Amino acid sequence: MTLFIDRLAQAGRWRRRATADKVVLALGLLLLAISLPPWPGAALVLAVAWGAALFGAGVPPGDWLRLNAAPLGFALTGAAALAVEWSDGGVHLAADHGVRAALVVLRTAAGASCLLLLAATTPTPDLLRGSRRVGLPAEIAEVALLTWRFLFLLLDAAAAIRAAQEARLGWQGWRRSLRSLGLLVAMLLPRAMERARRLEIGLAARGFNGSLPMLSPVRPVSPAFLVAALGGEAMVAGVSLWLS
Amino acid sequence: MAELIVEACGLAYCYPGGIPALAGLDLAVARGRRLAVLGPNGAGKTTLLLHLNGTLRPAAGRVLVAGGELGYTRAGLAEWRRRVGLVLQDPDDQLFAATVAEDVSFGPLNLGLSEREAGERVAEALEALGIADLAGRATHMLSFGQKKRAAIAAAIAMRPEVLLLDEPAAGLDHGGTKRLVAVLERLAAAGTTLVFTTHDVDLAWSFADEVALFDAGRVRRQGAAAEVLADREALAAVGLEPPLLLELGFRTREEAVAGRALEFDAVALNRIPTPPSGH
Repeated sequence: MTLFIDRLAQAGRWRRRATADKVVLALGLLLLAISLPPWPGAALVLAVAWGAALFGAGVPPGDWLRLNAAPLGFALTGAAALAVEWSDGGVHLAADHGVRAALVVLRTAAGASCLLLLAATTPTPDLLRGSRRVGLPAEIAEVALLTWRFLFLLLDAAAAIRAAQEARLGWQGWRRSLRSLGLLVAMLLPRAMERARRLEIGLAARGFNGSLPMLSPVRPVSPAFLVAALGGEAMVAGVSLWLS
Repeated sequence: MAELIVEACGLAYCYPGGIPALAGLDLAVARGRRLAVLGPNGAGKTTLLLHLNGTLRPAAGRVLVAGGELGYTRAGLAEWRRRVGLVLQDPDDQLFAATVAEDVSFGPLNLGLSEREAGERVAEALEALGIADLAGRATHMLSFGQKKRAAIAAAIAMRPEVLLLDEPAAGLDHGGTKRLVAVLERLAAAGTTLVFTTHDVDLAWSFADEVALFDAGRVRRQGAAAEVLADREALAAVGLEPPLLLELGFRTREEAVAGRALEFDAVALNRIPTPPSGH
């Protein structure tokens, strides 16, 4: 069992690119999306983030749209309240003709795209390794890494239990589904505990003494990529300020 | 007699709740041998392996490694794990790191090796298991057979003198089992002593040179694979039957003794009932 976003990150064109490269690009754009005026700043950031994801990282367009659907839907729902107003006993378009709502959606979409660009091109362990290099305590990184690994094992276990329940008509109708879901969740806890105990045995057999030393892959930073990323961001900032 | 690398003397152990798992078990493993511990499911084979690498401490009895007790202190256990490696039945119980290479590097780094030395061990282990191309692959994206080989690579990267394998072929298809046996053959040829638990008599017949029949917390019989696996009564006593090839040999001999002509008829052979235990 794999998570959709993890699958994209593992199989993507930028999988082996240095985390620092991708962080500079994505978080730099995020900073611009927050600090520049939504028009045209956020719109430019949005375009660059989508371009980087689709043409640079090679994220399949359908997958990219699917990734963006949830935050975009959330932003649209929230902005709807800004686009209309209640007056004279009815609902009318806001006095600003929905401009404020559109700008909120634009900024939200731009910010979400920047974070999704990073998430869809960088596996979680790479981010944890990068965080360690900039000062995240080893203990926290190790616990996060184990939690991440455990997530997939639990998803496997949940999928197997659900398949077994479905095979015996456990998910027909909401009442049965609710009961099966409750049983599934109740089953997962003891399984997780048992799995943790066996993992401890496995670690002990290889000399575990409280820390998890590993040889992490070294991926050199690409100066060309960094120059391009920073240059692109400077251009977005310049054009945005000039136009506004 | 060959030097004993691992020896269990009078091991006794009860599961929580007082259920006996080992009841005065004796087992001797000679250096360089391939020992199959054969027994039915639930007989306590895994519990035995966990004693042989010091994970579990017996209520009575002792485990000797190369003739000496290593003890259950931190230093003793570290030495024990260095010399006796363990591969669990489910590879997901062992693989905890994000990528295969990172996981395999865990053991060597725990031995105190430098990053360069650990890197060499990782490359060597992955090469030995034929999974060098999977070094950078996420562990949760491997197939079961690949996970199994990664788990073995993780164990052999510590270069143990003895490798304990719990049901190594469980969950593998025919091709996976053949690849696994080829890997174990190479390890054995390189001098690693192998102890593996299984209920698969055919695997024991094809690979082990020694067999220990295990049941109800004791080793009922230990000896050369060809002798033990031909002993129908001893096998039946622990709920097992001879390997298929041996069974065929027995039947052929019986037919010859009875003076009946030997004919090959796959359908008829398929319908021959399994002879009763102790036949």
